Amino acid sequence: MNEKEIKISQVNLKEIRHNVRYAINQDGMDTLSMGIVFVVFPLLGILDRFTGINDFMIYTIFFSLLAISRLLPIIFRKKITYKRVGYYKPQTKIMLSIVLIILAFFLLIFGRSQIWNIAGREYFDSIKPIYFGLWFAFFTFIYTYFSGYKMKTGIMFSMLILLISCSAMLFSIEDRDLAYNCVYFIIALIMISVGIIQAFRFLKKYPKQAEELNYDD
Amino acid sequence: MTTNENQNKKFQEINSLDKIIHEPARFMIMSYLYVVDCADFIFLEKQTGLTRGNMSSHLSKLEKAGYVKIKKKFMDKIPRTVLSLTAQGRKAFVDYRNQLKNVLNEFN
Repeated sequence: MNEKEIKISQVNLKEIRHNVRYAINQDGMDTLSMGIVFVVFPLLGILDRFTGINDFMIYTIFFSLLAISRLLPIIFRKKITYKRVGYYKPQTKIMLSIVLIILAFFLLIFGRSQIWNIAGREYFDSIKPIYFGLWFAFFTFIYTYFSGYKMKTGIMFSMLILLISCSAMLFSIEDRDLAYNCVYFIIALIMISVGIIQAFRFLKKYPKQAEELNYDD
Repeated sequence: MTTNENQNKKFQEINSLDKIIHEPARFMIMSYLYVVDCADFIFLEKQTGLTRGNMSSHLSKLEKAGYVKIKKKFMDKIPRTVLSLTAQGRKAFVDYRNQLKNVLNEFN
């Protein structure tokens, strides 16, 4: 961009904030990480159903996958992303997204126990896809919004997840739990696939590593 | 207040705008640094689209004015120039934005 092309009237701080977040998040690592977190729950449910794994194994798998979901973006960004697009440290304001996600987790657990107490577990099981679908959609929206995507993309992605999740209610098979777990598993796999595709696109877009800096003022 | 006095006040406000930030490229750099805690030279270069020489000279001016802090670090044995706004720089940027808004409103 030529210096003359920059117009002060065109500088929009909100847009800049989004651009900054998107610059790093376009490597797909956040989507991949979120997919890994989402895959934990249905995976454990399915494994428990078919193999009857003990608690120790459940905790081992759970914490291993969580650790991978945290470590993978850190390593990838340190080795690849920052060398290609540069590095920035976000302001503490971004903590708002973490607070919202923690709140969502709290509402998820609190809401479930409330529905169990008031309406009973059977009722909860019947609305399980809507309940978890809403949570998935909310989580996805927060992620997409704070990752620098446009709000429209976040809403569309959330609606798609809600639609897929609620479609589990159409299953008229006896083993509903297994069907739900399969649907959540598919959603998580879609997220992982999107993350991998984004990572490949990122590597294609920025094939060369940024040159070593030789900045002297 | 007469019309002439009003006009003069408007022009005085324009004149009081911070000349260091008023330059478009420097305003762009300040805007990007304002929304982050710190960023390295490559990141700013990619985001603003300015050339290295340009960035370097503008950053020197901003550093001299006390608006930007420049630190040289090593990340995985690679030299990185980490840039951040100083408290003075943040205040100057907010003041400049408010002043500019006022001036534009006056003219509208």
